[in-house]
Amino acid sequence: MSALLEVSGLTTSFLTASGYLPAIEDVNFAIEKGETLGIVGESGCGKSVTSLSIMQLLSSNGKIQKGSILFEGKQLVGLKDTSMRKIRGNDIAMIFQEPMTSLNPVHKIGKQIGESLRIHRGLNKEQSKQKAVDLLKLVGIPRAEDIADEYPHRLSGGMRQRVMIAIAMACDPKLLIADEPTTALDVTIQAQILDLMRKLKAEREMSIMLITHDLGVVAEMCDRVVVMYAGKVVEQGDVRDIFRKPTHPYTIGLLSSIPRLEDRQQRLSSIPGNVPSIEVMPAGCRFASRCPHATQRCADDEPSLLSVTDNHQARCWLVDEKGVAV
Amino acid sequence: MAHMMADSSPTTGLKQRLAHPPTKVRSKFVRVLRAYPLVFVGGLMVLALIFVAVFADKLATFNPNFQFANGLAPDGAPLAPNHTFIMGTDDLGRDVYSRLLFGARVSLEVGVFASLISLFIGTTLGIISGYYGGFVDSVIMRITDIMLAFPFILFVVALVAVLSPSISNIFIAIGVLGWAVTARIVRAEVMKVKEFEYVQAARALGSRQWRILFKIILPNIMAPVIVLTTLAIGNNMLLESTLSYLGIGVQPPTASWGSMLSEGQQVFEYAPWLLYYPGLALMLAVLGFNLLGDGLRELFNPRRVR
Repeated sequence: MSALLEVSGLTTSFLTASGYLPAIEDVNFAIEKGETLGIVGESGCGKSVTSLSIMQLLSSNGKIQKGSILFEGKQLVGLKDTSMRKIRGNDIAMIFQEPMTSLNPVHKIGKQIGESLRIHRGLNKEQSKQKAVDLLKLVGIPRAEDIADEYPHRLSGGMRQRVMIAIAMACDPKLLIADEPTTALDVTIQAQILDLMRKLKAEREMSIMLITHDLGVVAEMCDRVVVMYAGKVVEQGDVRDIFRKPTHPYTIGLLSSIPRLEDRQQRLSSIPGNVPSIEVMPAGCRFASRCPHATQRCADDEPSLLSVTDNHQARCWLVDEKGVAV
Repeated sequence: MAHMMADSSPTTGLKQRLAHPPTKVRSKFVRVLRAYPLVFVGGLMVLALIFVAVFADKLATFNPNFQFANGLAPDGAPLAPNHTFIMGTDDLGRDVYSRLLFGARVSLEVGVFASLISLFIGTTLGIISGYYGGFVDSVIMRITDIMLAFPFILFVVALVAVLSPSISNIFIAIGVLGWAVTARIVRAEVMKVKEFEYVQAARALGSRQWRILFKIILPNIMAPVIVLTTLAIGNNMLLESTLSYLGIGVQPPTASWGSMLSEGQQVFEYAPWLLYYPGLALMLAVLGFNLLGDGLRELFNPRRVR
């Protein structure tokens, strides 16, 4: 089975004072049909740049320097904007982190949901309005007819995120890119939104690319996980493997910084230091400066993605030396 | 009945009354009127001005440019307001009331058209500048800086002098030179709005560039622009008066409020009504546009009107 989305060797750079510097380098992953892929990492590690690269929505100072993005076998890198527009919102839809600002305050909810239907399906006002009400019902908004006639400021954050999902679902996308969809919401609402996404995914056989820094969300939602650090994939594999046998010290660090009910530690462990900025990216392993296991080899040479098991890889020399997790 | 009763609970089957029974929903017009009565005061003043300007020939009692032999006192002084000339006459024996009505026409015409020209140029340049940024932005903003740095009146005076003074040349000159502030405000608003996630979201939906510019961004920046334009109408009416006062505006014998003030100034020691009426008219007109502009700002803000 060929993957729905196949990203290989993707390098996206941004123009800085010192020329083009890569924000993500040599990123590889694939999303199968009906699969949920989690992309995890702390702020600034290139999660959002990855999603914007896929959508070809980089700001004018950013460009894809290398690599390919195949969507249903079609190359998206270098695709003309007119062709890309037909894919955006139609085949690949996106929902954003901040539901408070992702809706246009001057247009009614119903109109905004109908927008992509008018763009891609050529529906008229009346038809798109009717479809918008159906979509609002689909995402579980009560009084859908009334809400369609309201302006966004009348809705709460959770309701707005539902509306965003309704907008994304309008054209039945094959891939939904969710960029931190629950970060701005409180925990009970988070659970509702995740439930909703899971339900829609199952009903519509859609794939989801879930960008998050919340490992709890990943455990709950994802089939496979890609862990990114400083613009590179450092570990990827099945969600079970990642949680049971994390191999890269960064993943281990991330997992041990989650509070657990079983063992009541005095303090949560944290990873010391910060992500190196792209202007002063060290050669060798990018995590070496923060890694408890770092050796001279880590500082000198960068490991490639090494196989831990068949579909579990980690970018760490420890795999090479021990073959298994530390 | 759904409005009077809350839904009965599916678990207990009990029916409950609503804690806050719904009251009659007033129309938006009434709600706005209650919240912002000054919009309507301003709006009425502006409507009155428009009415007067449009029907000046019906409302005027005399030909505004006719010099009445009985319009002057035996010693040649202007007549104070009386039964025939209700606002008195000027030093040439013309009826002030009729001149005031025809002057409203000139003032409003210049104010409105000049502001529309500025609005169009300023919004277009501001949107391009703010959205595309970079080199285009630098060029447009440097031109704007020059426009703002140069004394505006001097610029307008020079242009009107070149074009020869006439009503249309006055509003063209004011409009073509007066877009700088609009462009700056539009640019700033666009730069703010284009960073909002809903613009990114619109791109992610596959919207074309024109759709993003004119359907997503433009409606979001219109509130300050409309306010600015409404205020600009008042200002441009003042500017027309200034030009006419300086003698390069509307040419005699055509009446405008500025030229009436200018002519009246020479004799105001013994004929003060020649300043009172046009001055008062100008003040009320500008005040009307200002009240309306302030009110519109509230009205266009979807968050404000409950």
